[in-house]
Amino acid sequence: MVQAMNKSDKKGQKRVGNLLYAVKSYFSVQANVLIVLFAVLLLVLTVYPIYSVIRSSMTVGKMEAMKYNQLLHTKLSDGDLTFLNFQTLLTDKASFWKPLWNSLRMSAYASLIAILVGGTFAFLITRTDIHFKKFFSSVFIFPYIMPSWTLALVWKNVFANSRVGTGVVGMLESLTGICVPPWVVYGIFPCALVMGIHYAPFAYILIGGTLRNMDANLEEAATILQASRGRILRKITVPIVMPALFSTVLLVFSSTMASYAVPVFVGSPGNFFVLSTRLSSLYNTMATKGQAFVMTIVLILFGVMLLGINLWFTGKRKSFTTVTGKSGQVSYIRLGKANKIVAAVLAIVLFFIAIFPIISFALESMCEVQGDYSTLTLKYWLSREDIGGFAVNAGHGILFNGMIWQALWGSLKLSLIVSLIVGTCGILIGYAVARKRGTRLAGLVSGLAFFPYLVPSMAFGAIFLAVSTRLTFLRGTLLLLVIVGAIKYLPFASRSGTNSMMQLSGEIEEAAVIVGASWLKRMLRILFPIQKSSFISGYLLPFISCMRELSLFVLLTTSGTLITTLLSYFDEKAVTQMSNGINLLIVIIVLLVNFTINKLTGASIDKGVGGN
Amino acid sequence: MPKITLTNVTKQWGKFIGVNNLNLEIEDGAFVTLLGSSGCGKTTTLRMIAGLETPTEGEIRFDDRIVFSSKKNINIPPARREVGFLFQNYALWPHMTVTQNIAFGLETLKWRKDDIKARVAEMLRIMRIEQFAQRYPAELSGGQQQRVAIARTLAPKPRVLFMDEPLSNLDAKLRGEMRTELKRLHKDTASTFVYVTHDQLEAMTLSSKICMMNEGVLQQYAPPLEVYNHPANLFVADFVGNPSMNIVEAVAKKGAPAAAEIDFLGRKALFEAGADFDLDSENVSVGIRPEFLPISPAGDIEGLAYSTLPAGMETTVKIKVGDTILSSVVFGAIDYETDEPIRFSVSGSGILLFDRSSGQNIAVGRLTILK
Amino acid sequence: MKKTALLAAMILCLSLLIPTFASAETDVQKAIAEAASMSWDELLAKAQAEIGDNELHIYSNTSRVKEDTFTAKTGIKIVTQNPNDSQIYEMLEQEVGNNVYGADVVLLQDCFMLTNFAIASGWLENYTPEEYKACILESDQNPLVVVYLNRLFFYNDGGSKDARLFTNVWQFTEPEFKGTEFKNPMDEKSSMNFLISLTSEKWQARLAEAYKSYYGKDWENTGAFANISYEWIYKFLMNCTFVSKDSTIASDIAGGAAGSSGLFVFSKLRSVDASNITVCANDGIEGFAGLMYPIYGMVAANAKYPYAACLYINYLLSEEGYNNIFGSQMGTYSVNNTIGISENAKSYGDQPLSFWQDCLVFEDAEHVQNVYFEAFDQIQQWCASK
Repeated sequence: MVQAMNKSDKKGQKRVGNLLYAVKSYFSVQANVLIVLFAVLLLVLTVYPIYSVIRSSMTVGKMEAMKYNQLLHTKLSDGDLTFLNFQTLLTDKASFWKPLWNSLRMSAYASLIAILVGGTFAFLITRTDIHFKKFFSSVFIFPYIMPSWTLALVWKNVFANSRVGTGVVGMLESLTGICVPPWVVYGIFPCALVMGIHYAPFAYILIGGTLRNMDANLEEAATILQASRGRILRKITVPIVMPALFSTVLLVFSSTMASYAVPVFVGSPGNFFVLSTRLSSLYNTMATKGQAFVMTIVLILFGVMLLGINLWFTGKRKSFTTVTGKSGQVSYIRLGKANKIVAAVLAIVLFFIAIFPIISFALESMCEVQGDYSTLTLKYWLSREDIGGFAVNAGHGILFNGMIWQALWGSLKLSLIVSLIVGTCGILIGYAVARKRGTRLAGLVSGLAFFPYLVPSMAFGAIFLAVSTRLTFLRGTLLLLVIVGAIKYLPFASRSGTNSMMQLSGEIEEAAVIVGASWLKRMLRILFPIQKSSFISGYLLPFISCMRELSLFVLLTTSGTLITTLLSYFDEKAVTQMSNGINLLIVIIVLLVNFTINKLTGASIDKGVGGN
Repeated sequence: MPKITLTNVTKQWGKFIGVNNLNLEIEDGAFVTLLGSSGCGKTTTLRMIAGLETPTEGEIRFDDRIVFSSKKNINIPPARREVGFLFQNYALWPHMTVTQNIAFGLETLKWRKDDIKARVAEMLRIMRIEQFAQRYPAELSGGQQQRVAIARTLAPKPRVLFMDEPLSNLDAKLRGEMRTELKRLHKDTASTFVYVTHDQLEAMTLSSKICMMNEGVLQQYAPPLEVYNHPANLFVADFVGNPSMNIVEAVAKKGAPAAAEIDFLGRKALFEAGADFDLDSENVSVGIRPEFLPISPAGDIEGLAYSTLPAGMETTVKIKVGDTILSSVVFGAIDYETDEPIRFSVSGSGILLFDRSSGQNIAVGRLTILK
Repeated sequence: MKKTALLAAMILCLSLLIPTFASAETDVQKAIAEAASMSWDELLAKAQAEIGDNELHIYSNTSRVKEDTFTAKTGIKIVTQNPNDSQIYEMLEQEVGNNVYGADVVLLQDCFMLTNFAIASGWLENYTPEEYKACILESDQNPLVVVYLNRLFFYNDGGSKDARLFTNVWQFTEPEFKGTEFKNPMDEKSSMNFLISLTSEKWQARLAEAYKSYYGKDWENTGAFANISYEWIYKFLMNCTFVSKDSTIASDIAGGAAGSSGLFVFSKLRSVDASNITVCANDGIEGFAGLMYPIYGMVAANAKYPYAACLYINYLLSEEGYNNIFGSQMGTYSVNNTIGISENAKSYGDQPLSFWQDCLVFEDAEHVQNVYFEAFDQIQQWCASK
């Protein structure tokens, strides 16, 4: 019996030993450590917001209880659980199903447009010998750098005409006398187009990255087999850029679903209402707030659906590895005579979507009377005294305004910290997901990292306000803003990180493992340099977004801390010159950062895309 | 140079067994080929020895030093196993020049600057790629990239060199050249080479020992000629050799010691082996290499010339006997008319007898067709 | 054993209840009561002693409150945060509701939410200084309004100042004058409360008068609408265009064709070329000429520096404070009736608060309180069906 006990004891020990060993050997692989670490971290950081959203959608607030009690004669009180919010919203055709349908259409068109515009552009830049590549490439990302509504503003300024709205005569009409029909100016068409163009740089960055890293031999091989260009595009190129296409659709579709400024600006005047505008209305009314959370859940579900499709694609072991370390030469398609024409068309389009808004910011910041260029003045920039007049207490001209510089520095600091954290996490997540591709944990991490994107900024800010009332040491600190920003923008970086890591074959890293390069050294000397440009775009995208974010932070910080909170001050004071000037300043700063990084590292968002 | 010993090594992914209880001893200075079709576990085995993959169970030793043991919880990282690894796709780092690619490993190993310089120069010379020193991988042809990859792998003077189908991306002619060079390299560096391939010719021509694998299970581990002449089972017999061995199903009855009477292609035949053997079942397969089926007008068996494939130096003749098609290789060029009746014999002492159900080799001997 | 347990439970319950009875008046309430009767100098001394070198925290839905003139005068540093009004309510719920300190002073709008949400929950306290009671309408004293803002009907007159294009408010419901630009009541609480206030008997009567003068017949209740106000609201909502920003509406009208119209805050007039813009009030439009809404100034129930908070509100009510923060702009009116409008504002045709009293629809707290949810629900449905 003693012997038997001994035996079973040993067995037990052995089992424990085996388990320990299994755990130890599992965690001796960095990718495993990272994937577990991020899975835990993301679970905590995203599950809580989601839990909050769901809970808020099912509890009645004080005002909601009052409303339901009065209108539906219920006997609810503050904090009661109910499905009434779901019931009310989901049975409301006019304020839910119609705008939902509108949102879906708008987002689908916007994704299509983004892919067509960005994809075509990516193809032109990476695969043809088009002129002025560098210039085009860096200008093409401007629409993303600028807030989306600027493009909507330009659209309105160009196409508004005497037959639409109040009859403001736009540029097109004043130059040519052409009046475009109302649906061109307001409604789904301009919404989808503006969103599509605004997010086309996503498509360019993601698709271009894959195209540039893709072995041209793959296409050439097909050329030799005498496949037609269209067939090659359809059968070879498109499938290979598929993950990038899906990432683009995922980002553009969910961004457009959640976008607020553009639909309000060029949608609502055409009586085109979408889910996000309805959501904002509901959210900003205490008596309907719960319904806003129901809508948020709907938005999240759509996101999850897209994410599922995306995961199904990258999760399949089907390898999209393109950088093997066996490099082929890239040969450009010659455009020949068409080159000049294509370049000219591109230049014109880019002028309107990228340069024109900047010029109009500059001009508007210098007009004493809006739109009247005979009243140009530099005082809103250069005045060393209080601007005075109606702009009482606006302070000095922008360049000498301490308030503005302080806020600008605040935004810059926050954006830099957030982008550093987010960009680095993005790369690590990308690494872990790519190495563990096909495992459930990898799917979980890549899915979770995307979640924050699906929660509207307003709600996100509110959730963290609630967190900060419990963790009071966070209140009013930069740390809180950093945490919120980092979680909210993680999706950008984790997407670009995953995409670029997926393109690197395992061998590339293993070749360094064999010679004893430490994990850090492999990351710094091998993986990062190879995909430098895409990784840097993983740093820059959060930076840009953070620089111009308002609704995420407005609950959490005092005004004047960030430039965007100051912007609304000038807006409300009707000192449009100053707010236009500040907008210009933000755009210029982002461009400067992009340019500096470009000069220092040779990488930038646009060329993002990976060349050596 | 170490001797590498694998004891009961198993690799499992969930329910899928990649490598099953593998025991293998790779002698110092050997050129061992892991041969098998794709998915047979050969690459996994290689990666486990190199340390790129962690076995589920078992033990791996380099000489007396345990580099991996599931029981003793030892797992030495690849770098400390002092091995080199040549990847199928070369895995050159595209952002580094040829020189940087070669020097990287040496820098990691903290070599002195002068030594690195000298070693890189030496490798460039040995691999005859001096003129590409400052180029980027993208600016090189496939063959040149392959040389750079080899140079990079050999630079730190690894004790063992692992190669994962390194020639599969090259064209036939380059592949031939590189084979010759690899064999010289093996001699010059005097290190142990472990080489993964699915090309039996590569395995035959290069290695000092072939490790034949199928579905994660070791089939035979022996020098090439032994594998060729005395395949352990039907799988090995069929895999090695081109054209493949003729496998003829037959019925055998044990006669005198070390002999059996066989019903072969409708003829009575006598099989005589060098040593006595047992027959578990009378259902056997007879394995005959094509070179053991000489064609002559005086041959014992009659058949039809199904198809003739002259290659200049030798000719492969497909002979149809009843429903069976046999291959015969004849030295020199001959051309038979299609369906021309021809006669052939079974010659030599390398005729193999396999148990049909287990596929195991039973005996080697000669086969005499009885009149 | 059972008995002692019961006793213990009872004692526990009592001990939980006692503090709520005992502290019938909180420190903040005490401070406010004291402050109400203090002179400026007394209050200043008390506030300075209380706050020292710390900052006074202000939540305000108007970002105009960022001025340092208060600091210059009192030496008290301020920090402001400018969420929109629903966000302020959210912050109050999260912060005061959990007794976490966030702000001392809160400036916000929306009479209904203020009364039923914030004050009813005990998150905000009212402070009305004795010295100003005489010059503030009693209805504006609790909760205390600090400033009124208006949003007026404007139209493009095509350059002729006596065009008199809009003389009756029913014109805005006619297809002929389609496209009056208006901030969506679902997003703008002052728009919503304006429409709800419009349903009071006073405005029903006004609308009926205007109806008769415009259509030449009495309004008849066909049963389609509860009353004449709802008919106007429905037709107006169907006829108008929702635009999100006052500045956009202003520039749309300034640059638009003659006859284009809209409602925007008066102060936005200064940022556009106003030469073609006429304010309907000047034409003596029948019915009403726009809306007026209050900004309330309250002390947070868990304020850290209640005296300083009162001092700040006191400052806002003073002529000096008002002029420094809101004064020079048109469309802004102190609740203190001793303070007139600025010369700047007059040059744009602005008039004192008393002028607007009759021709603008003021946010009617009492009426809104009575009909809020029915009206809200109706308006919400109409907005959505647009």
